[in-house]
Amino acid sequence: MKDEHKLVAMVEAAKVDDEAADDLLRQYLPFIKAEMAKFMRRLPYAGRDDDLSIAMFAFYEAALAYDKRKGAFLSFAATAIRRRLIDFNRKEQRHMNVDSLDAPVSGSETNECTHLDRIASEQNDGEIRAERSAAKAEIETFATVLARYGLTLREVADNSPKQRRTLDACHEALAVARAHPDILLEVERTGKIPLKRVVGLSGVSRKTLERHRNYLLAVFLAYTNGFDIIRHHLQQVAPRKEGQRA
Amino acid sequence: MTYMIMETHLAYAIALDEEGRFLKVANLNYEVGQTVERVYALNETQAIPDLKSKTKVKRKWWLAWVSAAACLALILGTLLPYMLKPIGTVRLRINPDVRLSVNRLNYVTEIEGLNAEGRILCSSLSTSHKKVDQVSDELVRRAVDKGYLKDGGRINLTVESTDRRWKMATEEMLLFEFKIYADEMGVDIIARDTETEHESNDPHPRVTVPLAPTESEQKADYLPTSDGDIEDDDEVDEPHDEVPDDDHEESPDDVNCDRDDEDERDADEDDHAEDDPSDDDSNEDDDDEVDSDSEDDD
Repeated sequence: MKDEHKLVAMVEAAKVDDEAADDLLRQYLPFIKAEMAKFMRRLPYAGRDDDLSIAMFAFYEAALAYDKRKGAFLSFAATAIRRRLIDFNRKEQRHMNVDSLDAPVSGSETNECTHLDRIASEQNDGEIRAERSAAKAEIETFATVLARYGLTLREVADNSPKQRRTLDACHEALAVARAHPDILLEVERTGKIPLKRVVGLSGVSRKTLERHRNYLLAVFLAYTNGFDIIRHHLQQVAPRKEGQRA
Repeated sequence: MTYMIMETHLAYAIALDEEGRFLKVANLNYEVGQTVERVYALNETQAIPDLKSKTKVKRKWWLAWVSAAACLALILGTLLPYMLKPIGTVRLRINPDVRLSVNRLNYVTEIEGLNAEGRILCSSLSTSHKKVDQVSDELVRRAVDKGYLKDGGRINLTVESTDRRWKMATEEMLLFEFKIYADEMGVDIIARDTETEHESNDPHPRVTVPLAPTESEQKADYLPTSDGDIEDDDEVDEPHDEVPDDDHEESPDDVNCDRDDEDERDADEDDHAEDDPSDDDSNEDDDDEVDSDSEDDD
């Protein structure tokens, strides 16, 4: 029983602390591998690296969702692992079908990228590696900036809007900030968003903005100087919104 | 949609999609800065470690309710049949003869018309979930409506049960229930212990005194007028209500306004066994009117 208490404590810690999450995972890796093996035996094709990653992610998901009133954590986690593996393999089986080289890449939302294009671009490994490296550096800087304002990427991810409606509202707020550089400057200076002004200019409800405060701060900061790669990636976020405002 | 990997951990990675969402995803050996086409993100409902109970917290105290319900079922299961089984019968005879079966809770379980008029009275009378006083009252009211019970009529009530206390309580309750008919219509309510057949065959409701023959004759002896008999009837009636039926000999010996003379004439001619010493005492008082007894004896 003591072990169970200890485990529950670890799970609770993993919810809010990344290091604790990693520790928990490392400690229960044998368990995760065992569950995976049980599952794999039932599968026609097996042995993908990704399966272990998926199983580990499922374990982490279970830790986040776990409520000690639900019963023992490990059985809950085992179910989560099984479910995720089934789901993953179903999706992967779909994508394992052989496509024509000129057919669009499955899973991609744009139909312009064909397999041929992909193969062609992947031949340019050096370029890709360089790009990735630059992105990495920028992202790390970004994380450092966030840390200066007391934010971690995990907190930002947890605070991210999930619903379409709230996401759009946040886009509106961002558009306002981009149109009024002094707002961005204030954010950079104080680490706080001038909600009243943003609400007034965007018409978004204050409650929504407050609920996604951490997220908005991160996004606003991404639009201050130096984060070109990230901004480039976020191409779908801002432009159309500006045109729509009255 | 493409995703930029922002951070990696053993358990997961954080990806930024093109619409600005930061997502926790499975870390399929990603590198920070990498862009991928497909990710396996956390399920929406589990994304935020919300400790508000999403699941069946109720499962545990649910059990308490189940066992409470089981106990209740057990108790009711034993108690209910006991309470619902008939404990006794109530028989109402006006002219229509009706018998009600009643359970411990005083609800009518069954109703039966014991003669033709009784069956008419019972027809299309719903007795479900009605108490005995309500059904009895409805029956009497119907009897009035249909003309079976008229002013000055009589209701004979017989309550039977192995449970004496219930019998007496029910009798009392129904007597009280019918009091209104007694008050407004001059109807007699007679409670009897045993059911006497000839009474139910009598087609004419009437005001009667169920007196034993001796007594009626004795009374007749010292009353100045024959009308006095009727007054006396009223007096005699009350004690007889509580006395068992056995003492009453009714049909042939009933004293009736109409038949008084006849009885006296009979008394004149018959050889009465009531010719006992007590007669002599009454004779002393009033010889004038009724002299048949003493003088015409053989």
